[in-house]
Formats: sequence, structure tokens, C-alpha cells
Amino acid sequence: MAKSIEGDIRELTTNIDAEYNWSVGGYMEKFFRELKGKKITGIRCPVCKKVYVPPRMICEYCFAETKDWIEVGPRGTVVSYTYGNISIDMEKGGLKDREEPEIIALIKLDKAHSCIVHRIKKIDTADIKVDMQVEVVWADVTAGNLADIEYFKPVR
Amino acid sequence: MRNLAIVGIGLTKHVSKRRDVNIPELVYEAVKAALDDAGIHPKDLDALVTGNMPAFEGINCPELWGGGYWGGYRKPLIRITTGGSTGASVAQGAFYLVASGLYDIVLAVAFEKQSDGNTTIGLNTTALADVANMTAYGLSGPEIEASGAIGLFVYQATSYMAKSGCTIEHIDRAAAMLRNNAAKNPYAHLQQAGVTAADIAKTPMISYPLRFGHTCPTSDGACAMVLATEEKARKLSRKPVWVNGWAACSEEPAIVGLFGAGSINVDPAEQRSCKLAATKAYAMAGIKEPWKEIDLAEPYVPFAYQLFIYFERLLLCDEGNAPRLFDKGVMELDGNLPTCPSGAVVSSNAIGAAAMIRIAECALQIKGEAGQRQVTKDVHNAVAHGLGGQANLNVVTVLSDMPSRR
Amino acid sequence: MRRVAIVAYAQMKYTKNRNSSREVMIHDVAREALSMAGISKGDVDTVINAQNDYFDGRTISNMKTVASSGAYFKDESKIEMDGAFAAFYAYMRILTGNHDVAMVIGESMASCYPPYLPGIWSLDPTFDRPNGFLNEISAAALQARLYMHKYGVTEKQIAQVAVKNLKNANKNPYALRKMPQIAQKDVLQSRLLYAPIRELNAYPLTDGACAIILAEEGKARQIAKNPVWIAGVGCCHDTYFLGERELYECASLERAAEAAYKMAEIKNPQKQIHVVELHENFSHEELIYCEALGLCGRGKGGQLIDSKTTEINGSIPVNPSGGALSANPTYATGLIRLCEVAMQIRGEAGEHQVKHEVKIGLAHGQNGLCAQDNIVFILKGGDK
Repeated sequence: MAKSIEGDIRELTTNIDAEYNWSVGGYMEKFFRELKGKKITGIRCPVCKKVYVPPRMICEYCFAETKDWIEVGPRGTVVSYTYGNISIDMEKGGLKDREEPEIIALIKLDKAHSCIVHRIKKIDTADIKVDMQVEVVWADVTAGNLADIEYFKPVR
Repeated sequence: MRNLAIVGIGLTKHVSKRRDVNIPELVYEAVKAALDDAGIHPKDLDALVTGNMPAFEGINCPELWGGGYWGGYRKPLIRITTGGSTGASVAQGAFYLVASGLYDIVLAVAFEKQSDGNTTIGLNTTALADVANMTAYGLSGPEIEASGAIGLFVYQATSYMAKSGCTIEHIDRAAAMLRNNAAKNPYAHLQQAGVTAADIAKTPMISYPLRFGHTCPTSDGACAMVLATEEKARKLSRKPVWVNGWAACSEEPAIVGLFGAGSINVDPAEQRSCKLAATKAYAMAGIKEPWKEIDLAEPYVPFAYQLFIYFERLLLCDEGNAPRLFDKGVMELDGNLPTCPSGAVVSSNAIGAAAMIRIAECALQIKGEAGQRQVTKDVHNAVAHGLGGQANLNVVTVLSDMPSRR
Repeated sequence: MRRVAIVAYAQMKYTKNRNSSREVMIHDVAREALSMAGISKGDVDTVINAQNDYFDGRTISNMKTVASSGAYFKDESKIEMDGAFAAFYAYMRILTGNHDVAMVIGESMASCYPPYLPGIWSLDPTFDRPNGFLNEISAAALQARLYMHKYGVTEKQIAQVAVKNLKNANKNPYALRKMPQIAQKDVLQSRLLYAPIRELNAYPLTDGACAIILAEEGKARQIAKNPVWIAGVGCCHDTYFLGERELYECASLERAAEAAYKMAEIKNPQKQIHVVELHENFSHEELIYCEALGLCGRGKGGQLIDSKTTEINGSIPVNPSGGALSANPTYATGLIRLCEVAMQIRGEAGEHQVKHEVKIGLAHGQNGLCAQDNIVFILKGGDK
């Protein structure tokens, strides 16, 4: 943070190092536990019956507390996709070139109403299409966290 | 301008860590309670106003993620953030929306989930940009702390004590009163029934005259209020609480100034902006002699000595006279002008919510729904206050059991 | 109900790095707006700031802009959203009768904050944020793809929006991004970000501020010979979840527009709106917004840009200023849209003045990824 004081100081740069520990809430806690068992779990609104994944306590459309846990996937449909030629520099912000483009997609898992955003591998950027079917590829060793879902691959 | 009233109130019990819920879920508890209190559903809402202090959770505009949990789906929604006064600024945003004539029923939501973040970072980043140049010159650590929250409030306290004759013993006694009040408040974070001034005086000194026992905790908590037009309020509530006057006033923060260049405001105890805001709010409410007409006050008191300062700056007595009135018992629950019967911010501080809770607590007292902390006298008119920034943003709200404008 | 007008405004030359503090920037536009109005700071009753703590690197960002925004000892507050929402709040304040004259100032400086990170910091921290896939550009790209897939809109049509806006920007002395010879191929060959979004389809990182002064009718007529009336306003907040919004449309914008149109008695926007200024972070957004606003039929955005209707000399010019694609000081951008429409109505837009008479204009602001929140103002000139 300290800078030399030669010449005019026009700008000062400060790094703000802050660590956050967000409570995920009971619904996500269960979601993570189920990931360990290689299950993707959603929850259903008792009023409109929509299934949400990741699970959330409130269905905002009905303003109702969700109830029934439903296993969703492991397959899903690509609702939309993109591939990143760049990524965001998580330290300084701004854009960084990528060595390999990363495909990400809005995926509607079977039985779910909502979509998750995740990466797709094992396919060329030229070949991805809206409506194609994909399935989850689990990490070899699951630990009950987001890394358990490694990526999605096309269903052949 | 049309009359408006509070018709629903929701509060969560403040604690240091609500690890069982995430932010949207925590705030939902207050929202649900407020909607149930008003007997309405989100479909009845015409708009939402929300706010918190983003540095504490590390989330930018958290209503984007959480708004749906709070009844915000496809509603007009605005976000207001002003530091410690946020809760009051949010409430005033809701007052303006209803009073404008365009929105009949508006939900005001304010919260903080301090346990998700780092309160020190949150507070330091208020001052970091201004002291960054100091660090370039080698100043660090204690000098930076001095410009952060503790430093500023220490200056405010000592300046006030020098002018008013308030002693550290007064502050110890104020803290004891507030802590005992909080013990009667099921929503308060720190509840220390039976604590005495002598107990407070034994707590470690942080920086003269602030003792540990004089300071606020950091809390997870939320508050929501439903505001409605007169016509709708009378249908929804047996006892609407009328929002008759409100104003805010901003001044320069004292001492440090931009980039450490100093400020024309040299006395953080003066709080002229509070007096100006109070004057306007009382005028709007038709209150001519607040020291006579106000039955109850909830100033924003995160540090016990501020009970005296803001009692005076809210024009409830002559300057310098608050400690004497306190000694006479005026501010007690059974006193003539009970002050912070809730236990004040010094007992519960989820920063974003704290200033709205002052308004909610006044409303509960007017309704006679304050349970064990209900004051002895009948409460007709009450004043609530929020303080934000580096004690330079003041927000004052005047509530009543009767609408002032006919 | 009181009538409220925009009576004065100030912009500045938008840059990549203004090389000054934000306080100086705010002070400059505040002073200039007062000067245009011919009033002093003492005549202003209330000040609303549009700022963001993360963008400004300051917690409680407005506590240190009291002096520079002219808010000393005034009733001042802060909206932590696009500046158009701050204008909305100021408008509410004047409607109540509590205040007669309001100053609204929006600002942000991309040279100050780590670009694109604040958008990431608005994500759900229990899933999207730690996963690291979503950011404002990748979200916009998912939207663009879906829009193209649904309606057959092409990359060329989307690029044409950028061409139109950046050509317009050449005539705007304030614009940051000026490309005198810009053609579709420049856009289509610019650096690929997240497909199909390329650099010239995306907004430039900008430092800037904008100020406008609102006044109730009596004061407005004293201050300005051509006050620009706020005839209607509407805003709307949608669900956070991208997969639960039909991304090829913008439902929250439709609803915001519906409320604004109703208030302003606009029944046929295509015929009644003479100029439009949109906060379009990405060029495909403009087409989606035009559909949502009813400036063309659903799914007809591609045809709309092809038809040249929205060109500066078309029948419904959209973003004659160059829009956000030419300059995007995010928290000022919606306010700049209001300012630009007011300029068009008053005939003060200089070289980028629209040729036909402008009596009614539409200004738009947004907040959140893929415009989760939207606000629409209808402004009217003349005595109506």
C-alpha cells in the first residue's frame, strides 16, 4: 500500500483483503451433503409444483416455503450456451485471455424447472447446440462441495 | 401530501451469528412477520425499498439475489444505502413512495448479516481511501484506527463531556439502563438483566472514555415494515402508527476530511445536521415543543454516551442538560420521556437494520405492543433517529397515534 | 398531482481515466448544472446521489460527497443503483411537496474499481459466485445466444446496433468511444469475449458523472423556458435466476414500460415516442429492449435494425447519443439517458440532434445482470 513520494502522487492503490464466510442456509447445506453421494437435489414448491435447483427456501412466484426434496438430473437440456475466449481476472478485474475456450451453459436438469449455469466439456465449441442433451460428470472423489460436479458432457 | 401509516412490523431476534440461514432467508423472517402483522400478501405490495451496508457481507446489491424471498418479484424496487442510517433512509424512501401518491402499500426492508463478513474491514473501508495517502507517508495501524469508527466516536464523546459536564460515570449509568432495557426486549442481542453501572465501570477501557461495556455488539438481524396510505391503513390495522414527519440532513464528517485534508467541521459533537433534521421533522409533524409533546425517543445510540448527545440534538432538552435529566430518571421506562426503551443500538447492532428498528420500536410503543419493555406512560408521539456515515448523516422520523394532516 | 420537470443538466467528456478524484468530477457536473439553471446551491432542497460502494472503493460512499454534490446541510440520500433510479427517487420526493428542487448526480469511475468484479460480487455466494462461470459478460452472452436462437437474429444484425450507436457517438462531444469509420466488419472482427459477444458489442469501461436538476412546476417555469416534464415512470425488479426469465425478452422492462406508458397516456409507442435512449451494456440488449418497449413486434428486433427505423434519422431514433456502447459510467448511465432525451426535446443535442421534432422521449436505466431491474421514464416537452 505504501508508495514512494517522488513526484506527484495522482493515484493511490489499495488492496482490500477481506475474507467472507457466507452461511449457505439449511437448504444448500442439504444440497452439498447430497452432492457427496453423487446426487443433485432440488426442492419443490407445494403451490406451483416447480422444482428448483440449487434448492431455495422460498418460491418467489408463490411466496411459499418449498417442501419436497426431489433428485434431479443426472441429465439435462442446454437452454443456452456460450464459450469464453477470455476470463475475468479475479485479482485485479479486467479481461484475461484464455488458453482454451471454456464452454458454459444454462442447463435445465431433468425434473427441474430452474436452470443451473455450469461448464460443458468433451465437445467442440462449433458443435454445441441449444436443446442438446448433457449429463453430469462427477469428480472421482466427492467431498460434499461444488467441486463434486466437475462438468457436463454431451449425451451420445 | 397524503397521510401514511405503519401497518405491519417484523423483527428478528438479533444474535451474533445466524449460521442456520443465509442472507435472503434471514431477511425473509422479518418480511414474513411484517406481512403477517399487516395481514397482506406480496401481491398486495406496490413497491419495495431495501438497503443494508454491503461491505459487511461482501455482496454487491444483495437484493438482486434475495429480493424474491422478500416479496420483490416483479415489483418496483429501489435500493438505498447510507451507512448506519440506512434503516431510516430506507424507511424514508418508503414514506416518500407512499406520500408521492403513486404507491399505496410499500414494504421497507433493512438488514445486516455481520457474521458473514468481517466487521473491521467493513468499518475500515469507510476511511481507507482517505488515509491511503497517510500510509504512503508511513502512517499506519493506530493512526488509521483513530480515523475509523472508534477514533471518531472518542472525539465526539470527549468533546461532549467537556462542554456538558457529562462524566464517565454518567455514561456507565446510561449503559446500565440501556442494557437492562434490552433484557426486557426479546429481539435484542445483548441482554444483561441486573447489570449495574459499577459492573460497566469494571469493563476494559478501549480508548477514553469508551469502555467495552459502553459499546455495541455486531449482530445478524433484519427489520421490515409495511407502509400504507390512510385509506388502506385504516382497513388493515386496528392501530395504524402515523408517520407524520420526517427529514434527513447531511453535513461534512468531522476532522479527517477528504484524503486526510481536514474538515471545516471540527466538532463531531455539534451534530448540527441532527438539529436541522429534527427541526424539519417536527415542523412537518406539527410538533411545536418537542420537549413537551414527544413522549418517547429512540435516538441512534451505538455507544452509550450518545444517549445524552442525541437526546439534546433531537431538541428534547437544552444543550448540555441531558445528563441532569437522566439523573432525574426522565429517560427511564417509567420516566417522563423514556429514551431507548428497546435497549438501543448499543444492545443490538445489525448495522443496516438498526436505524429502521428505532422507528419500529417507537411504533410498537405507540401501539402498546412492546411487551415487557412497554413504557409506563401512554405514548402518543415518538421520535426515532438514525445516524450514518462518520456521524454526519442524520435521519429523523416523528410518529404519532393520530395523523397530523387532515 | 404535482408536475415535475428536468430544468437543467450537465455531462462531461467521458474518459477511460479522468485523472481526478470522484469528488472533483461530481463537483464539476453539480456546478455546471446549477449554472445552466441559473440558480445557486441554496435553491436546491434535496440531493440524491447514485453511487456504488464497491465501484467507489468506499463504504458509505456518499458520506464524503456531501460537500461536492452541494448537499451540505441538505436532505440528501443515496440510491445504490443506476442513476435513473436516483432520478426516480428525487421525483418521488418532489411529488410529496416536501421539496421543490432536487439535484440528482450519478457517477462511477472504471479507473477506480477492478472491472467486472462488482458484477461477480452481486452473484449468489452459495453457488454461482464460487462456481466462477457467471459474470456480466457471460450472462449477456447466454442471453444473446438464446435471443438469436429464438428469433433467428444474426450476429450481423447485432453488430449493426454497435455500428449505429458508435457512428452516432462520433457526433457526441461527450462520448468516449469514437470510431469515425466504423463498419460491421470492425465489430465482427473485434476481440471475442464470450461468444457471440465481441469487444465492440460490449460497453467501454468509463469514468464519468452526470447531474440533472428537477423542479416542481412553479419553480421549473421560473428556471427554464423549456422545462422537460416527467410524464410517466415505471420500474420493475425481476427474478435473479437467469433460467427463469425468458432471456430472449425482458419482462421486467415490459412491466416498467407498461407503468410508464399508462401514467404518460402513451397508447401507441411506435407512433408517439419521438426519441429513445436506452442503457444497453451489450448491443444485442438494444434489440431485446426495443421489442419489450413495443417499438417493434415481438421477435422483430432483427428486422427493426435492418429497417433503419432506429437510425438517427429514422422514425424512432434509438441512442442518438451513442448509448452505453459509447460511454458507460455505470451509475451515471441511466441519468445520462434522461439528460440526452431532455436535450433532444429542447433541441440542445447539437450535432447528434435528431432531425424531426421531438416532443416525447423515452429514457431507460437498468441494474443487475441481464438487466434484472429496469426503469423507464417518459419525458414530454412543450406545455402538456
